Amino acid sequence: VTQAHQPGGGASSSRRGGSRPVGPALRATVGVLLTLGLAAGCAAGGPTKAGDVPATAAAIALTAPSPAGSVPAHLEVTPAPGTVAVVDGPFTDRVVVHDAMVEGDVMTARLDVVKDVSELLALEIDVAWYDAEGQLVGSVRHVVDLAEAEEYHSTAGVMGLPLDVAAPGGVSATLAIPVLVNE
Amino acid sequence: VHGQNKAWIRTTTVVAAGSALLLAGAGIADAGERSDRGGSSAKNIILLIGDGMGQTHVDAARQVRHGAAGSLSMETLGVSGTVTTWAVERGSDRPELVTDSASAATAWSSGVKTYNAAIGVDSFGEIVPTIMEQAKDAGMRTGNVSTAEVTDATPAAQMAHAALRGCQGPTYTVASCETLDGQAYLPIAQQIARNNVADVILGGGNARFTAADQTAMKRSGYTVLGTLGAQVATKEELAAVKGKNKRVIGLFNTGNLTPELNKAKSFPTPAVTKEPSLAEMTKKAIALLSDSRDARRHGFFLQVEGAQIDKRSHANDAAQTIGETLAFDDAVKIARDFAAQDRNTLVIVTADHECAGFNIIGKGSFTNAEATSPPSNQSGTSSTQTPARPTGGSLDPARSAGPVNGSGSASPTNFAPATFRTADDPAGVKDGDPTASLWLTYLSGNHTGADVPLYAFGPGAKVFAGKTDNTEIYDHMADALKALR
Repeated sequence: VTQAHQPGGGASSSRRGGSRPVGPALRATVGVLLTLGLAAGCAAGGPTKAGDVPATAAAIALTAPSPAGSVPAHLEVTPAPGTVAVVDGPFTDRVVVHDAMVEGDVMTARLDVVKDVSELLALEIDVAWYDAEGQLVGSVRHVVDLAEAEEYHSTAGVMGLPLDVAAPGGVSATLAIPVLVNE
Repeated sequence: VHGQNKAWIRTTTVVAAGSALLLAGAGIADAGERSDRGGSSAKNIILLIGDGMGQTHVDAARQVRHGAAGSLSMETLGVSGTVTTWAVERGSDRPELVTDSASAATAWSSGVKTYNAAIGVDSFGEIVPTIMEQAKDAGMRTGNVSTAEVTDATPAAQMAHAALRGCQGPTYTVASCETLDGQAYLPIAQQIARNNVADVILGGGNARFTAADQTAMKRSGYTVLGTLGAQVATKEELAAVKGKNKRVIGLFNTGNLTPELNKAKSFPTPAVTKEPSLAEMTKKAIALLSDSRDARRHGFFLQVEGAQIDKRSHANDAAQTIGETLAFDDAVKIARDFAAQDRNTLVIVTADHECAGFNIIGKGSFTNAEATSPPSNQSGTSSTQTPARPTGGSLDPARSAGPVNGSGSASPTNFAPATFRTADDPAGVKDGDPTASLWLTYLSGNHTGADVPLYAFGPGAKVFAGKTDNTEIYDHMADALKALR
């Protein structure tokens, strides 16, 4: 898997598809109709119990999300030099990380997705690396290229997906999985 | 007012799809007449989606459980038809012939064609209201049940809006979510936890939610089974939920629920046996939804998804595919029995798309994938075919090492069929035997563009006879619901 390395933060992104041009006339038509439709839906307003919040999914959808958790600048427990600690998160029970190490300013590992193993839709990995005192040196959010991950797909899941992240000045690292979605 | 609302959706559908309404008014079978009790308006709707369930999935499950002359519960509903499932390319109305679950679910939830991966937005990224939101606004009780994560495409498209189906939470990233109207937005799980669209939410995906979501849902009056983001719920906890007007969320796995065949083997852990079946969740959801003053006055809308039919079809796992189709049919029976007694409930059973080109081939025959070359295409002494093939392929032993669930199971390169005993086979015939009657093959590991079956029962069912586009399912449901009239 091709990696882009951005010590100190940032993301390397490579995914399928992307925005296509929008037909202005059709967009306008749909927009006007949508406005009418939402207005109609709100006006219909059925019985509402006390404390019963009306369904306002569109407004909720457009609420800004909370900022994503940042990489800790200092680890309470520093991984031993050369090693990689997997940070517990919502999807750590769906993966197995093996052969993980930091050597020669590079973090390498192999990743298996072993739960909910049908088509991989999104996988993002946070890697942070630290010096011998446990101080943060750099971090990167890696967006896995789904097309390139295809060759590691099997009926048992995505097996042996290679991770190869430059970690200049790092002697240990942490690996976290903030995004994992399977069909 | 709701009439206007439905009208714009229809207009949009026609503009986007360029297709005429296909209301089938003729040729209704007697069984259909009987199944359409109470005219065309329904107080309640139960929409059951067999994700990835094509006609062969239904056929194979029928053969295994009931034999050639038998019928699944879904096949006894009386009205039957087919559904066209195509999507559109993003930012246009150009047909994309093979849909994904997100686009298909948006089609029946909101009445618009959209691009693959879209959740509750049209082809141009505009948020479109869903019938579950409209039902909720009209005072109906609402429920959403799935064997997948409840943030997965099919359940999500009724109660959330996202530019990309991968934006399931708990973390928002631009790569997995993109933006809506140029803005970052809440991931699907966090929308569900705050928008109160569904009163009863049962399924998987506990890891998508957080402690903050738990706080938000409790504040809105939900009974939260287990702990969101921390501890999955159990079927014992679900069974213990009692009371009127209950709002409940129960997520029984961190991810998708466990396929029934694995559950029977306690795979990977005995904890999976604490997950309820789809039929159990459906029965409880109906009970919770209907035991309410709002339901008595305005009715309820419930969507139920058998998600693993698709997921196991992607893996070309015929045994679990059939198992999940049968588990889905058990849920259909629960809905049918309720509707038969209630007489005010429209039950609709269909699929979002076919998955994997599932097919039944003749006992002892073989597929092109197992052959040394394609079949002969010449007839007599001449042919207009290009290229012309005077001789046909023969079985390639390297590509056909016997039934993949039998003698060929040791070969990972084996394209041979999986064979299953049917209810008509003699005693002693086992799955995986060449003597078993049902020979099942897969074309691929992906969705196909084939039409899918539809079955319906109850008031408003007749309109589903014949051919229906997936966007018209929205129209027909909106037309049928009394609360939206």
